[in-house]
Amino acid sequence: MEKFMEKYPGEIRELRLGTEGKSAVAGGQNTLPFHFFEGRPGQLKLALEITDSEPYDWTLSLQEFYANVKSSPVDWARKSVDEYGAEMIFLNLNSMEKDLPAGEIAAGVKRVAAAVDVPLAVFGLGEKEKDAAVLPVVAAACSGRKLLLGPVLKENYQEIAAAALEHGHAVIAQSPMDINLAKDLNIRLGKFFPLDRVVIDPLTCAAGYGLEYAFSTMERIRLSAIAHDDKTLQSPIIARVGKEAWKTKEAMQDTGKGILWEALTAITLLLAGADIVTLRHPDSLRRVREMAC
Amino acid sequence: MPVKASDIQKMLPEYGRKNCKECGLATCFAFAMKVANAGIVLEKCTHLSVENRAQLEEILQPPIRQVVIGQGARAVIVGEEEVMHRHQKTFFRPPGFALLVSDTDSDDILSARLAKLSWTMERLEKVSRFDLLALRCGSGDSKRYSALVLKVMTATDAGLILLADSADCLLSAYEACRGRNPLVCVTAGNYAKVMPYLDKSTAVCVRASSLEEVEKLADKLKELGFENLVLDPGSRTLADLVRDQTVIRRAALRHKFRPFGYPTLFSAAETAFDPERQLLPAAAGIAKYAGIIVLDDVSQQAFQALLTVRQDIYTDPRVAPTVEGKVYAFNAADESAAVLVTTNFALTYYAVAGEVENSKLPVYLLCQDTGGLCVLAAWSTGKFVPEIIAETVKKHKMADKVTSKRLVIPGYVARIKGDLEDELPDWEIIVGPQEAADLPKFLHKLKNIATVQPKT
Repeated sequence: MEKFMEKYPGEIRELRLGTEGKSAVAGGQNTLPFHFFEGRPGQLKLALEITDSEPYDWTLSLQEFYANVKSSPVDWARKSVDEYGAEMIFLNLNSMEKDLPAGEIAAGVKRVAAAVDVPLAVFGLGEKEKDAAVLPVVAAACSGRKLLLGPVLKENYQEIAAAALEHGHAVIAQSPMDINLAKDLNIRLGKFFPLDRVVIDPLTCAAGYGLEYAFSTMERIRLSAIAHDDKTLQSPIIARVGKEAWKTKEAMQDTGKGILWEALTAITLLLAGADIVTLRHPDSLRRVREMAC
Repeated sequence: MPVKASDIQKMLPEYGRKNCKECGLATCFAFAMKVANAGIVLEKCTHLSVENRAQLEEILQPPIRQVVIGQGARAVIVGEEEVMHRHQKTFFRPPGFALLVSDTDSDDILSARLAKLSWTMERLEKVSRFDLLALRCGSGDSKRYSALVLKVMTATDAGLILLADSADCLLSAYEACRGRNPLVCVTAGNYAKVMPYLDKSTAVCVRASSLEEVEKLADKLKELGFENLVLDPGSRTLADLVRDQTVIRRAALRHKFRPFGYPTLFSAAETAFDPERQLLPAAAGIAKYAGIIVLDDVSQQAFQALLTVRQDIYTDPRVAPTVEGKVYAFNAADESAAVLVTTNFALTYYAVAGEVENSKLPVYLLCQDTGGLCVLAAWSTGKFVPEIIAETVKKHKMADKVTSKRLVIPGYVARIKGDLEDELPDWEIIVGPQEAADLPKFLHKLKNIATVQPKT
């Protein structure tokens, strides 16, 4: 079968996160997703999502599931790693909705970062002004911890990425479901920010809610990076599956369905090129890991 | 990859300049054009040499052959795929889902499993269900296996897949159901005993445990005159699945490698003993080119999830997905309901509908037919503008459906508020959020305003 193998010119930059001792990476592959037969595989990371204050907007079944830890981000993060095997923690800063002082939010992030030995992603609201006000404060408070900060948008990348650069963090560059927009943002970032510290977030849709768009967008980004050696797109891709899967009608109806929706969406997007996948339920994490890692 | 008419013309008599008109067409080039579009058969050219005809037949073959299993309305057609990645064109033929049963299943288990054939799921105006039934011979007893075949034939008209190691079992089952156009699975171990008794038109699945073995066996069956092949390289892990399916499709499409120019079968049922653990491999089979996916004892929820993923991946990216432009009622909408208007782009609809359901408040959602354009694109091309929205509101008699005449428009088109008020003087026009996710909060606020300050 040798004659059917293909070598590709491009490779995905390795992402390093965390201080010494927890420098786990994503990316590093020089081939298409799961093409172990013709190239070097990259590292995948399955993250569990947590929130920095009560996850009141999460579906009730998940709030019940995390009842013992949901008011303590530190306990929640520890449990996610020690008990559920999360390879990364994805901390949603939902306390920003209550407009807490940025310093207070940043202190909370610092406590979570100190509590776990896995890499930490810290995610704002996706509101350009609020994120630009809070994330630089988080970046400074956690200086040197090599967090993954986001989302960085076309409208606020300068403020947030500048702070991330100064304090040694990586960023999640978010653009709406289009290879050209993802490329454009990476080009802008690349002018002053090292691209080996960028993760592309092209947005995610759950099964039945536009999964095909997320699938093809990620697949095109990855093909451009690997097969066409597009240097501006050679970053790991993040699929934020947890949030999308758990707001579906199906997940609201039934926890079992939610787990299925989350796991099936995750595996499909891993095949499209996602390197980091966020999940909200440990059962989906277990299933995806069994299969893919 | 379509064949060019000029390439066909060169192989016609006198390099395509004979122009004898005996085929009924004015010139050889016209004939070549029709051949290229499969509009006429080569036989119509009576002067074509035997060698050229064989050569033409070869180049005209699709790189991946079409194979039909079953018959009538339940026939499953697989193959004829044209691309490696769906954005390059589209994936054409969704994989057939086959439910696995065995002749060692007790009567209770068997009837419980067969009951799953009646599960249906309707989404985007399409009804999906199990497409095929895979019959495993676990007993090694040909009488028992044939009895199973006869029994399921009375229970379903779905296409059948015959899975047995012993040639005797396979052949007696084949005799029992050959009129149903089953897919007969053979291996290197049993094919020599089986093939002489099969009709040449039979759909045959080449089962092996590596790509090399599949190639060898497919070649042998082709030599024996069998054309309707399905390939199963025996993938058992995710990495194997991606490798096997990718190599087969790539070899067929890019290298025109004939032994791999057939649709594939992936037995998710054999990837793990626990049916729950077969779901992710099955989902991977959908994204990665499987033509038929054999499933063991799945739950209805899991099956629904798989059907949803299948429909997503096989959505044609060249066509904007739409829902019907009409009024959708949510959460027992009555005269107290809020009225929202948006476009009939399916993704917009599903995002809005999902959040409206989450709000648990009664809502009428009016979907303007914009030909599948999203809100901003439809507005900028004149398909979601005040005059048109007003007309739709009147056409659906929304004023008679609710007591409080308040129309919520998407936040992205806040600018049309004034003009829409002029078009609909009886209505209060309210600008809603830009993102569907903000709808539940917005709707609850809206409801409270309604109760605190009834509109005068």
